[in-house]
Amino acid sequence: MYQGLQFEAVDLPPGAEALRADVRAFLARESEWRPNSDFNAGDSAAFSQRLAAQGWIGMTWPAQYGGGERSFLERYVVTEELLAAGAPVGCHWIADRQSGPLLLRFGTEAQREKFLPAITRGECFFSIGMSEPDSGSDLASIRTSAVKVDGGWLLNGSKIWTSGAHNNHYIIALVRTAPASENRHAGFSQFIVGLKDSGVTVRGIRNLAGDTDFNQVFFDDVFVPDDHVVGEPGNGWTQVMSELGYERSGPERFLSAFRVIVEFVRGFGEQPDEAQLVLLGRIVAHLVTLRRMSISVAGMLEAGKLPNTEAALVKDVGNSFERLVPELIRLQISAQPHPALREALQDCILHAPSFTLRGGTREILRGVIARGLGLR
Amino acid sequence: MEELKLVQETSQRIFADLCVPDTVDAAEQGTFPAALWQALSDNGLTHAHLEENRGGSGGGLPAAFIILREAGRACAPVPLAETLLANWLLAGASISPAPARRSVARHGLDLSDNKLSGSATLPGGGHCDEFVFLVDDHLVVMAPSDCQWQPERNMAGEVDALVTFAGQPVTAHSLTGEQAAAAELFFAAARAQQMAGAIEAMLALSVDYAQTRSQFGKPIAGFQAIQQQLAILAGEAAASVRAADALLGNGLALADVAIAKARIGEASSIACDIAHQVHGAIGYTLEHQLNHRSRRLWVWRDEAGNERYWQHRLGNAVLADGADGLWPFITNLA
Repeated sequence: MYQGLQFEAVDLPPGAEALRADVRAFLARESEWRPNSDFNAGDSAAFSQRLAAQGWIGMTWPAQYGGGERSFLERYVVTEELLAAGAPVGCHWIADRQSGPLLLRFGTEAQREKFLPAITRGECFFSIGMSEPDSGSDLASIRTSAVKVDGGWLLNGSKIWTSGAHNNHYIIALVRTAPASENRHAGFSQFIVGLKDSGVTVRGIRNLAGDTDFNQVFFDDVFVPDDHVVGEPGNGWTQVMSELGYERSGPERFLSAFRVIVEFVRGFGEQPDEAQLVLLGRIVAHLVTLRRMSISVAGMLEAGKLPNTEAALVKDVGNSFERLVPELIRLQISAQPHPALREALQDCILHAPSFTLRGGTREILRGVIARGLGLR
Repeated sequence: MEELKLVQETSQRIFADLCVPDTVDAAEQGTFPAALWQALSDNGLTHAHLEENRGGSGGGLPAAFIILREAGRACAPVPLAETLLANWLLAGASISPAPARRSVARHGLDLSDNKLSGSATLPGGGHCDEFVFLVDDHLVVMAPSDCQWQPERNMAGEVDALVTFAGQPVTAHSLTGEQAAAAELFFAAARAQQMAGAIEAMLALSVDYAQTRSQFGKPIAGFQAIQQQLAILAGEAAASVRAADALLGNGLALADVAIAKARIGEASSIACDIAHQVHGAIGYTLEHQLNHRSRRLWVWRDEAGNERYWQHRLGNAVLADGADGLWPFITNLA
């Protein structure tokens, strides 16, 4: 009989509130960006560097690589403050959230020494190379591949939906390094490829919101040295699964619409009507509950567990909530909303379709949850 | 936390032994589950939240809420939430409540010159030994036989008592204004616990059903349409449990109670929808046990303030801090 998923109450550690106050004070001194709580919305290399100088990139990593050796829960406090304030975290977000942890877990010592300190200084940014034009949810069907040559590999193929590839330094690409066989998940490796390397072409793709942070990256006989294979050749699938599962539950999965909610409240005027107050209460009830679930998962990660189902669940419930927020708010505001609300709402509506597509589509996540329930 | 674990395990054992689907059906037919109530009473579960000098075991509100989570999971057809509230209020009026089945009415009555007037509904009052009335900061305790009342069956097949007074002389006990105001929060928190337990039970039943029921040559759990729906239900169950758990540590703070009752209310509607869909026609019968949970959720979501009521109160509380106070409001909630 099904036993249930656990989302235990987790206390933030002592010192968390002081850390939170520090982050708020730092953000109060920063002001040159338009707040947007979508983690993908703003990139500023300069901001990432200033954040790094505070010790807030690579917070949980070992000190020998420039990390802060702080807990997952402390990192949680910093990341949620940044998102709630709508800070431009885009440049370093992927490197901090998953590329660095991937190298820590599976990379060689040389890779850790080469890349991690630069990431913690806010000087080295990574893109994710997984999807291809013919391979999205079915990641195992990718065709980008490499053949062994002297001293390394020769890489051919292309990756798509690579956010930030026009600006970032490296892409970690999932690549087929052995022919396809009956085991769909065998024969993959992960390569670290310099985005300015010879043979690498980055072509921008404009999304319907008008942004070009989406890209297609083409590899044309790109030489990748042996020491840029993450960990062992052939271990790519296991590595990529752990990379994906790791941060599905973070606050970025339910805070994307937060600035819209703030401006919604700001727009209430003298006497908000009952329907506006009811909607605000409904939204806050969802938000607080999601945050509590998300912190639970951070606590499980802290305790060394691998809460795949719980993480997928938080992302799914969170993403659905984020998509719903602008749809509900638009019906409870004046026909002439104040400029900040109008802009935040429009931005959110245009980006909302991506919330339930990125990092694992809603349908795939629900499949992961179903597996966790014992249904498949 | 050790004591809470013990309370939880004791409750689970009692409900597993003495509250099976047949018990719930029989109760609807008019057979009050006396053995179940006796076990709850004998094991001190109706008093677990009270201080020892009031006949309790000092477990506080968390103990009451843990018991109610299990009661909701089992759909126990007894006025347990109502008795726990009544006993809490009586203790607050310096009365050590004797073991009894009780219910509390909090609206619709007027007390002037110690005379009670008006009409009120006592949830689960159909099988009570005592009626407790909360009017402003006063408690009035009466035997049902001394009241004018009629039974009212609700959607879940449980019996409420609709009571009317026309200037009846009574004795009133005093409560602090704080506790009288908190009665509303207690009852909403109580229903939130029951609902969270019932929603978890619906998820377990639905997963089990999907794995057992076969169509087109395989268990229906093998179909994506079913998997996707149950994943949604699991999300709602997780959110409900997390919101209800927050009340175990934080007491009766308005924000936490409002969040729980509102969020779990929303979850209950989705849960009933999906559970019934997955169970197909058999789940729609009275004979199948799914209705024990769904009919109760349909009643409980509208009792003690429904989603709209608590969303409104929460919205007002949040508004007080303004737009830039919204994030600190949220991070201040553990």
